[in-house]
Amino acid sequence: MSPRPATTRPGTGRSSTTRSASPRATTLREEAVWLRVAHRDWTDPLSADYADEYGGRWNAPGDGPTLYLNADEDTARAQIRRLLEGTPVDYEDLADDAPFVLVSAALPKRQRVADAGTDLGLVSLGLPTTYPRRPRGGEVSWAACRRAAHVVRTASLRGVLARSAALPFAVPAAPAGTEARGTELAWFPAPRATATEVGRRRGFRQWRHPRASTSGSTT
Amino acid sequence: MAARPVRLTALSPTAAATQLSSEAGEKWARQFLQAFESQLRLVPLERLMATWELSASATARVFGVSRQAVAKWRITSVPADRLVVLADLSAATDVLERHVRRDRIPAVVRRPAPFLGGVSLLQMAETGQSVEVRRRVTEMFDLRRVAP
Repeated sequence: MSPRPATTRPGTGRSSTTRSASPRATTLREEAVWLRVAHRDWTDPLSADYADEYGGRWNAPGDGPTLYLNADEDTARAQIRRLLEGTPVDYEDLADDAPFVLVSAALPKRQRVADAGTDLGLVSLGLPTTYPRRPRGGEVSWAACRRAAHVVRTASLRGVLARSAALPFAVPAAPAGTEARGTELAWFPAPRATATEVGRRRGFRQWRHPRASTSGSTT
Repeated sequence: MAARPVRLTALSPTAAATQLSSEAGEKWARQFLQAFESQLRLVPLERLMATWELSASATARVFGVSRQAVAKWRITSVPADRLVVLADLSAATDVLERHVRRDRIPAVVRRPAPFLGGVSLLQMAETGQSVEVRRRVTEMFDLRRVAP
């Protein structure tokens, strides 16, 4: 485990422990391997341009390149379950060779992102500490997340590290910078920065179920 | 000694066409083409019925015709005015087969779901919404909805 990175407000260098108008920043672990859920036919699954075109939870179309990544396999599986929510297809109905692949990726060093995984980080972004749920039930809206992400981009941070909204259960707040289970990253790459694919892509058969011998965490 | 007949399917499609046209007159060749096209049109219908496990009655409801009409199509061909519906449902079936276990498809198409406005894919097909069936099935598996 790498030393816990310092969590500071950008531009101040001071530890952030109070509500702030500026996002609470954290530096990603350099050795972290991130997981991208992709379609087998996508030509460049690590391109941050698709999300810029279509928009997502943490970016409206045209906000800028964004790459959505998961910290662990459980979260990646949760994305598929979420995809099927409300549809007539159950997760167990899926074929082993369904065209969902898992792409492992490494990011450039020294990526400073907004912490949306801790209470302090969420408060600094104007989001409820119950994120991804609202205090009175329901899910925090994409609009609220996109507003927070605008602040993050303005602060020149490279993304948002948050508890995944895809997980149906509450995930305990993660210590800043640890990319704990159940977190996902919306990465805002700097111009010309790219994610690097590491290892082999895994077909759905290889990750659709948790492996019995491991926790499934890659961090 | 007579030459052994050559199996057409052992030849390339181009070579088979050349052989047929050298042996048959134009009239026969045109009749053959018509019959062959009719057979080809039946493939997606039979596949739809098998994959969705549709009875002749259910198939008739999907196409808005009688059971007898469907029985006739299975011998002759699907008429041109029903080919758009068949194409839409075949496209939806392609997507389902790529993602869903084959043995689960009959249940999937019969399961009402909020994503479909509380009805099932089969009910949508039976009410003339084949274009919507195709669209919704494609959307259903589009990862960009959750992880763009």
